[in-house]
Amino acid sequence: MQRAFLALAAMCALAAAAQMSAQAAPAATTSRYMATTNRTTLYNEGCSMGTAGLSGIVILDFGEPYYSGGEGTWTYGNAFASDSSIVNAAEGFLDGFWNCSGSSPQLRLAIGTSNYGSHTGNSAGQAWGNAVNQLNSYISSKGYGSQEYARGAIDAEPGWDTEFSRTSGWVDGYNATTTTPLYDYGSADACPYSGYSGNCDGWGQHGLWYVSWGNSDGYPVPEIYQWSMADQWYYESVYSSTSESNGRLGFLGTMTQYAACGCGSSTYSPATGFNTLQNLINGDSRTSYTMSYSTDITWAN
Amino acid sequence: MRKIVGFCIIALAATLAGCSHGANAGLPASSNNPGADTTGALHQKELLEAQRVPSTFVATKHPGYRADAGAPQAWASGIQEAGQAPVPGGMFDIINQYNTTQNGQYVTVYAGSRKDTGEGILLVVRRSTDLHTANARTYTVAQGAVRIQSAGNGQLQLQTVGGAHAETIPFRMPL
Repeated sequence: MQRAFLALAAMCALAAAAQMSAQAAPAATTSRYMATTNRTTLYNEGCSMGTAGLSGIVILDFGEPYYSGGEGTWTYGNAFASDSSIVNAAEGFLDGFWNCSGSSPQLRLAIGTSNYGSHTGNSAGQAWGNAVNQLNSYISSKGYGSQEYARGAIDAEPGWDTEFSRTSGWVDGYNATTTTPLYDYGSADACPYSGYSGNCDGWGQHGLWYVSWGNSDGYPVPEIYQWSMADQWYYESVYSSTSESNGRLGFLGTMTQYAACGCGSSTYSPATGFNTLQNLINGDSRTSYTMSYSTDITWAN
Repeated sequence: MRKIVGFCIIALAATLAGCSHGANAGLPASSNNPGADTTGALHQKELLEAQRVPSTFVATKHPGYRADAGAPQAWASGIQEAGQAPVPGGMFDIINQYNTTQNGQYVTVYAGSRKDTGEGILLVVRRSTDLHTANARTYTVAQGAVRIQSAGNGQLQLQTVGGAHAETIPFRMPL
């Protein structure tokens, strides 16, 4: 009997080691705060990722919604970029990844904007959905479908729209024009976490749930720069699991800002951000979920 | 003794079950957390997320970088009162920004405050003109929030915001 017990213990130790190995954080991709819509620059960025053999989510963040003769964004290069110029640039990334990758890597390329500023709203969301549709048509027409997906993304932060209506309008507009997934790589500012009870800057947990998971296209890929942010999203998943109709949050992965922040040691590395949220949600049967992706955002283009 | 051994075996078996559950981590998430998906909604969304764009053919690959991205793009200069900063809204309140070219680099200075301490900060982001490299540094410049009032000759005039008396603080931009 003692031998059987020891054998079981040894098996469990091995299985536990396998489990730890299986739950290691994935290699982080590079997402970018975009200061340009130069197609060749983006081609080379896609090529770099393809050459590295990386798979995963890449978010190209083109800045806040803006209108100047048509829908677009105000980029981090301090210039207006029309949605058509953003589509053109993203096509360059798709070309570069396709040409420079082997046959295995999988790219989920998301064009990102935010809920910052007065131009956030339904028409901007509709236009963004149309832009994502155009990118998926491009993937189909070019024969990239075996390795590439186009996605929409929004850095939705409660503090940037405390009335919530501009953000929900944007999300509704996006959902009205496409069924393509929408990644919320935003924050849960002022939302509850251990020892803190907040109302998400007026959104409530229901509002955050709607933007990140409750709308039919929504998937959370939250910013996790420090522990409180991970804990806020864990609490949000508990809320969703216990109070909403579609259960716990299906986190696809995490975004960190290690390469860009200039915040020193106060911001998490990609692996730490991923593991912190993964451990929190897996420590509770109401929220357990295995995430797949890790991406780190940089200012370099 | 039998009871203790029996308990241990049950405990180990339960642990093993948990371990094998985790060993499936590479599979789609709902298949290793079946109990938590009580509505099936999660699985439906996973299927939607995994849907591919149909392609009737597979394109030929033509590896290699494209060397020429053309001339560097223009870089606006001056103080801009609006505009999103590329930092999390939960960490910083940014009030305004200043853009310039300095020593052959594009520079953006964001002014505002830290949300946790309320201290006035400047975030200085430098980019190469081809935008391929970038770095950033945060400077604490006041006890409360600041905005950029004027700029020129490598120096910023900052103004405190929110206090009873606005103060002007000079800041020499680092080279």
